[in-house]
Amino acid sequence: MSDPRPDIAPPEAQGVARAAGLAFFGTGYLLSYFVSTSVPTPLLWYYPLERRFGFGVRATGLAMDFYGRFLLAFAVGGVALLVSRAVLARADAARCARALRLGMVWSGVLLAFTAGLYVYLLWARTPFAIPLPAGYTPR
Amino acid sequence: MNALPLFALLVLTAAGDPGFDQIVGKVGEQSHDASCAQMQAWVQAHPQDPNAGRGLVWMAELRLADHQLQLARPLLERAAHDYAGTEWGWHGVKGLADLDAASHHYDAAIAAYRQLEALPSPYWRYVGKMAVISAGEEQLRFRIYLVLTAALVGGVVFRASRARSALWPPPEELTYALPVVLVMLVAAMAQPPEEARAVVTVALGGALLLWAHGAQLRAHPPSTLSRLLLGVIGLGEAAALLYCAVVANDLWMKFAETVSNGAER
Repeated sequence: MSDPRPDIAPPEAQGVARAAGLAFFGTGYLLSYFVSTSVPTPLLWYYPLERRFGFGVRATGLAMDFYGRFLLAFAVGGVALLVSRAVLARADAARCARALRLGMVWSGVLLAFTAGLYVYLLWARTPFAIPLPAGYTPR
Repeated sequence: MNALPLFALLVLTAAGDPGFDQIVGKVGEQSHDASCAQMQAWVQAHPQDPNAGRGLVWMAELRLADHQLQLARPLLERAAHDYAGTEWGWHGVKGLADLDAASHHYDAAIAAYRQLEALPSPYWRYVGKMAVISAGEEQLRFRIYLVLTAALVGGVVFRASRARSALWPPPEELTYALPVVLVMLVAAMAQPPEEARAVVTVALGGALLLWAHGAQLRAHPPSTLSRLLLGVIGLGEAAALLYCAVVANDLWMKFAETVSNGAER
């Protein structure tokens, strides 16, 4: 039995709309991952030797960008999810299906593009060891 | 007319001639315009000095560093003409040839480089020889660029004219590629100007090619074999677009180094 309220999508479209929302979450996530890697972006950095977090465009010493970049991408993906759910709230099944297809293609294309960027950046990188901090005692 | 040289000449006369070395030594402490004005006045006051031709070339290099090619050329022409046959005269010839090559007048540039290659000095023979080779390679790349650009533009116009009814709304191929075009345009903002131009060219040119291809496929659905052939042509066009973007923005050497050595961060 379908819901008579005009501001709610029909049941057959709601599942597709939820899936489309997740697909757009992926789009937003990967979009911000790419942009934050290629454009200097203020991020949260974790300094593992100093065991502290810091905020900035570039790290001053040995630092991990993973947490900050993940949080940023997650937030942007979350916004994309909420926007898509609002837009598709009253959409019919055909429109939801088209949105799902678009979101999945966009996510797939951006995944390939972002993965390609990281392969390009990391392919020729040569890691080097930094000196151990003063007073460090191996366990 | 710029009154700065005349003013600088008056200042020089009043304050005492600073000398060539002093003007060159102060280049980091004042603007290039001020340095060039002082040097211009010094050269005018000492046209027979052995460093006079050097002063003209020095000023031209400052103008080239500021991308003021139109100000560098007359200085190099004066060095090449007024100090012909001297070391700085040949620097003027080389500088003018470099400007000709940069503006794609390769025949004139190669002729000047051959002049240098024919000199008795081992240094100028080497410089001339390497410059002839480099300019020849650049000329070939530029000619290929012209042919490919004409082919790409012609291809887009041909497809668009055959599929006018299918141009709007834009085909799905373009819609699906929109995020990639967007991130490329955003990423271009963080690049040096010539790299940014190349990235924007590839992004927007690629979007245009997708639009034309997609419209043609909608208007005239091809057979499987034709679809395969169109796919191969599309890949070729993408490679041609990348080539044109790299060559048009003088990024060939940087591109070749990046391919062989990887990215720098």
